[in-house]
Amino acid sequence: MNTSKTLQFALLSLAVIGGMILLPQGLGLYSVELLNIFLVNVILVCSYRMTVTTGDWGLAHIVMMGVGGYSAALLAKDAGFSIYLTIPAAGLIAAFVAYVMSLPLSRTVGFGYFIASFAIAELVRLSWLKFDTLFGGVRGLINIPIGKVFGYSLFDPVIYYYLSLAVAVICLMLMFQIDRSRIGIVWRSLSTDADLARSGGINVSYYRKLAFMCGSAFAGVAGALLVHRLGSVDPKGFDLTTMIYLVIWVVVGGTGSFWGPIAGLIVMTFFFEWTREFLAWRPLFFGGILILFLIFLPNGLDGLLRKLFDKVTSRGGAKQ
Amino acid sequence: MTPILDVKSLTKRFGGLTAVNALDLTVRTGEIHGVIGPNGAGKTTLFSLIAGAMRPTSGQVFFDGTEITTWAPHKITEAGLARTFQRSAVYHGFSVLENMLISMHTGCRVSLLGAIFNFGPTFPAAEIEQADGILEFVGLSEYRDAQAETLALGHQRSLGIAIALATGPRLLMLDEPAAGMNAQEAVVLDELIRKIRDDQGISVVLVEHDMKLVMEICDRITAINFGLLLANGTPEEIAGNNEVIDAYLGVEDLLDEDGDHA
Repeated sequence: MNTSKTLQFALLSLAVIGGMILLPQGLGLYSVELLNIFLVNVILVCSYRMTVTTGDWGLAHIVMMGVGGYSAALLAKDAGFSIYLTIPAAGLIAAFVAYVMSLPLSRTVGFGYFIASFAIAELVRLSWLKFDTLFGGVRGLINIPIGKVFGYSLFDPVIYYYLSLAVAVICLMLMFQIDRSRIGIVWRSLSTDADLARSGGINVSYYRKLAFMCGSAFAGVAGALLVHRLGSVDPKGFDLTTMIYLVIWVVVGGTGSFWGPIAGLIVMTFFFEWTREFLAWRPLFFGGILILFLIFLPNGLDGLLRKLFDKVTSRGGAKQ
Repeated sequence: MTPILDVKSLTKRFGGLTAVNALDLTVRTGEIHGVIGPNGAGKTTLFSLIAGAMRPTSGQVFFDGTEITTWAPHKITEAGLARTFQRSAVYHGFSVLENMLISMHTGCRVSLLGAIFNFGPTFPAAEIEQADGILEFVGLSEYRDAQAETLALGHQRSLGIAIALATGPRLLMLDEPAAGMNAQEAVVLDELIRKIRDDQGISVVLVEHDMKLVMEICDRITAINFGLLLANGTPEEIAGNNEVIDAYLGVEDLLDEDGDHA
């Protein structure tokens, strides 16, 4: 990226952040609550993209979010931690759990990884049901304290929105920096040719573990944000259905660039709201969209825009 | 002088099949060493065993005096033994330059914190300069910014070699570098392999079907068949060896022909 592009990018980011700061002023409380969930999901999709850039499409990510959520809930309820501490702690605990999970997972590839990630994640999720004295079983944990920032109660959705916005901006900046670093590029190289990477001196298993841990850490942060907002956490929220929504957001957006999954999330969030009247038909719509994208736009909206952009400017290799 | 590569009684069995059978191979430092043999002789298996992609059933591999038999592939590459693949192996979706930069991984690792607090360019200018140097060396400078998968097959194979060179090897193992190349490309390759040894001082082992290339550039040749050592010697000795001629059926004819690369 040259200087003028960097400047453009910085100005654009500032404009978006400025817009996000002003946004709740013109909206009703329901919309602000939607925005709160949206910010959680922004962190979630970007962190999922982080792990899938290595080619490891797994089904554990939503459970990693749950690990962060349960950690934050327990720390806030039982240890009396403030929200400033529970959010980063949730990320660290999720990363640690991800490390343990990655020990067997990094021995599998492709379809094996896909299924194994589901199995291990389900093991974690079922342990929340089984060990009900700690995790509250089916009912989960309720009455999670929400706390205050600068003397303002976070119970107010608008105040919570600003906290979420700050956390989301920090998380996105961190993920963006990792994505453009040598680490991010090595992750992407693994998905194109792991054998070549291995013979090129790259410790493939280390980098796959690192990607899973980093992605899980940010998913954990997203989980903490969600749980503090809802005031409760239960195993149902992190089941396969939720995971499939996450996959749909990322597939629709495309993983080719950092911004693809966010675009996918925005489009599908609007779609989700529009189909509120056809509740019974919604799984069919979403399933259909997933199939259509996989067949006709395997690189998602990101790939489509890139193609159109290349056609307009008629130059090859837009990826610099 | 310690040989750069010393393979001692290496054996690999797949169930009942013995792909490599008690094979010895010694590559002297600074030499170009050819490994020949008919299809299914165990050449590629031998390569995979040396490079750590497969574990041998028994036997030992020494690289510059150090035993590397059970090392992981990336450790072996870090130690200075790089390999190329029979297929054209490049990173799709990345530019030619990025292909190089990814492979210059050894020695310039980045920590997570280092990545987060790096506000400059992803790759330092010195690394890009080094990558450009290698691209120029293999003759790919003009394709620097092209996507790797859009290159012609011959160029993709050169890029494969460049990727291996980017890891900073002392020994380069080339798996059928001339496969699928036309006569003209094979001549360029011939020159490149010589240059790698002469200018960069890198020892080379190559597995090859193209007898003309092997006979022309190799200092020593090892012929194998059915995983067994057939003969060891200079190109002249190998060309005159009856067992090798029997195994190949018509090697002599191939040697007499000009520029016809199967």
